[in-house]
Amino acid sequence: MATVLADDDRGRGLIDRYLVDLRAQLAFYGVGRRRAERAVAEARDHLLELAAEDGEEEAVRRFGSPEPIAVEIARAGQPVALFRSALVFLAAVALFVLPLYGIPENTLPPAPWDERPDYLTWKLNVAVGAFGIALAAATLAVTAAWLSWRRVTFVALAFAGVSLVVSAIIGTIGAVQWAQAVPGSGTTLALTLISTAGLGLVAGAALTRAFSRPFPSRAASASD
Amino acid sequence: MRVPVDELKGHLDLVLLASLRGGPAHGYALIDVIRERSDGVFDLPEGSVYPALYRLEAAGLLASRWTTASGRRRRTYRLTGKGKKRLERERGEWRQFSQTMTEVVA
Repeated sequence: MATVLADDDRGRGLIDRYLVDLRAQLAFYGVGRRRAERAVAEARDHLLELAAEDGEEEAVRRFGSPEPIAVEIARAGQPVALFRSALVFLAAVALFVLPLYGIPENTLPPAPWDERPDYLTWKLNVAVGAFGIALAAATLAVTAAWLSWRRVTFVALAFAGVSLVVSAIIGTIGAVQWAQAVPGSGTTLALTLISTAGLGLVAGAALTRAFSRPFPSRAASASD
Repeated sequence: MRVPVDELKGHLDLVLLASLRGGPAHGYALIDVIRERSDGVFDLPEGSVYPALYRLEAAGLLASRWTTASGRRRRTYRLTGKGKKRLERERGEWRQFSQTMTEVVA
């Protein structure tokens, strides 16, 4: 607050500087552009009403410091952000069916064996099983996020993340070994690896967003 | 006597829902209603009302839209059906709580 008031730039400048600071704080604490624009517009209207009565300095003083307001606005948007992150993660997990089944089914050349070797079979089973667990846990996470059950959401996302990693690693090892055993499987392997990596990045970004807490704890956000 | 801001914050949602019972209002008007009804006892940083309004709107208890009055654009908030039900429930709980506290503390 002292910084905003220190440069005594009479007239409209004080409110404008406050709004610039508020906009910067909202961006720092990860508030989306649309929500931030709306918050700044409402703050501007409110400050102008106050300033019409008591002047700009009193208006800014009565409105309060921009940082705690930005923190609380970010916190207010957290449930929606968590739901969106969980939804993106679920979509990435669901699309994992492509490298696990869709690509191999449509691009693999005929296998030279009548019965799949055991060392490939168990890997396939583990990869598919872990994928199923990841899908179920991700679906639970989205449902919990919709219902604002934060702890359940985080636990389900963590469980889904670990399962997806297990599925991806075992599945990739199995894909490499399959390509070594079946001539002409290079294309399948390449497509599988690329799609696994791509979906892994999307899933990782969604999880990072879900678990990130860019703003301080409630105790630190008390207004002055 | 002015209520410390931290004490009011825990009840701000109920205060805002109750203040909107009289009809739609924008943030500035809501602060006026709260100050008037509390005889100046509830005097919080005015900007802190907006995060609470956004939270209540995200929970489906309020709805808002831009309106124009005296050539000025404002965001006006109103109670939804869900908000009205939540308000009535919390008013009942508050009455019971304050009655019990009065009996215990008196």
